[in-house]
Amino acid sequence: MIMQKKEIIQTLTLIFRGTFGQPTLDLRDDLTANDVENWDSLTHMLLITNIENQFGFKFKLKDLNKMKQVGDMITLIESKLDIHPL
Amino acid sequence: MSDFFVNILKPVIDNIEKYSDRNAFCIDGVFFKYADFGKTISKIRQEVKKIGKDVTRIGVVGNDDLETYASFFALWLENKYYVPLSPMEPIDRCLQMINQFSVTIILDSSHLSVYPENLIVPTNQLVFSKIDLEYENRGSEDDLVYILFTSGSTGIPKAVPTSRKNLLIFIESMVNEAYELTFEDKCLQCNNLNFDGSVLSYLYPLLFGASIYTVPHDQIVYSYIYGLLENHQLTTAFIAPSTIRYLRPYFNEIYLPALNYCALGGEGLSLDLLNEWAKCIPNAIIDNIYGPTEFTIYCIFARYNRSDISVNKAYNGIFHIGKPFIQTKILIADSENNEVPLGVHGELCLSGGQLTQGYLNDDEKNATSFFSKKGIRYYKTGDICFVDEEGDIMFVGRIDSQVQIYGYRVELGEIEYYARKLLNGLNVYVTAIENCIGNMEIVLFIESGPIDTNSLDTKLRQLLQGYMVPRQICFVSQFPLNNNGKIDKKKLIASLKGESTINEVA
Repeated sequence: MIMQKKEIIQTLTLIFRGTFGQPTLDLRDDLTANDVENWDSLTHMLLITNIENQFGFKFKLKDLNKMKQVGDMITLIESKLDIHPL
Repeated sequence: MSDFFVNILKPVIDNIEKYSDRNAFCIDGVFFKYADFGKTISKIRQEVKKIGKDVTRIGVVGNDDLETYASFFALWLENKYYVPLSPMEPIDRCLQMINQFSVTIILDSSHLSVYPENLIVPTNQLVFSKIDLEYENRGSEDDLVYILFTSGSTGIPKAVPTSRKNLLIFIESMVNEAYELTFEDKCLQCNNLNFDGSVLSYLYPLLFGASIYTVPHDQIVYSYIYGLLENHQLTTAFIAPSTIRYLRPYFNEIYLPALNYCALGGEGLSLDLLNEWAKCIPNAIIDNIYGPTEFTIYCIFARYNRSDISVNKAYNGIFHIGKPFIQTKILIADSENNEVPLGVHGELCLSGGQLTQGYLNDDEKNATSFFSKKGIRYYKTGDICFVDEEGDIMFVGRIDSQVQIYGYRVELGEIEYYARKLLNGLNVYVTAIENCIGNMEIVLFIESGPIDTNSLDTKLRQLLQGYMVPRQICFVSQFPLNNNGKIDKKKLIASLKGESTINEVA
């Protein structure tokens, strides 16, 4: 079954909240590391690992630089899941 | 004649003319030519000339832009020196530093400055009128080029002044003994400007007419660095091992044949990591470089042997640091500052032309960190080392409560000082442990039942650099004590790893 975008966002929101310790954090397409407290290289790595574990795929290093904002991240996750549907 | 003006300023000014049409900087994807750099230095210099001759110590906000790099040269041309103020650092800490060290003028290229208006020269708003790059050698070689701050246990950072002579001797040693660049080199600059590794990354390339590629502050550093190295085929890089460790999960995707030279330094370098990284950069000469800010950038290095990796020596898995520059004298000393025999562990002490004059306004620390022996002045690095039969220096560990976090030297006492203050005197202990990827991170133990630490975290972020803020907080109702009545640090740390049950982890 292919995951719907809405479900991806819901799952991703929980991952973000857990990673950055902010239980009320909501995602927007234009959200960037500048907008979220504690979003630095270390927490970014944890975020990436959490996303990979939750969705069951691995990002490529080149993918990481494509994700300038959360919207890019969602698009990328969608494309990864299209190739490897859950 | 060998001096700062002739050997450092003149080559850069000459390159501005000689390579005017070549790229000097690539900043956030935008290229600036040497001619642009010369114009920017000139316009800032016009403003610097308006500052009184007796005011020599000038703050520069360390933004990632051309104005910031140009400010350093504009100041040097006018016999002044810079104190970098990191935009990532809490403003309260920066204000404390500028008050403490009497900085009354700040060159600031920020669109919205956080500093009082009467202190700043807004370098991003200046208009270029004429080239002004003439230089005249005034002052002495003991005059300063910059002051950097290192963590201090009293809550006030220690100010380390670097002189023209210090910097010149470093550059001469680097050119003669380590690695020379050409104008065709493309060099990574990923270091924060309040870390002296940045001087190596921006000044050294400019001496050769090479190009510098910087990392914007709002980027995720490790993936951006990889993007620069690959997309622009960079040829040289100075990187901290912890950054390389972030890239480790992706090593099988990394292949950078254009990289000719890679210096790694700022913290212990694991030989395993080095062996793996070396495969990603198949054509690069790799140096492990060592040196405290008090001894100007670096003074000891070990070159990685690619042809026979079995000869690369390590102690406890940490690659050796090699031999000092010819102009650096080392002493491995016991607690009485006496030299220990070959092979015996002792504190690494450094002497030579790269040695700082001493911390500013800190006689107490100067008395304990520097000493003279047979007329030679030494700096006590706080690093335990030994020298092997081949004269190579092996790094063993830190002597005191300082640790390296992401290449920065951190005094754990400084974090304890603020945590204790914010927790109204509760007993605390701060340590650094290896996290899941092998990088060091800060852990704070609080002697108390669980309490809400959200405001502690927020306040610490206002007082300390991000990398100094504890990543984990643990509550322990009573700290375990050893036979001497001191906190049993081993037991505390073991409890964190689940090897004991004395604490509750937040």
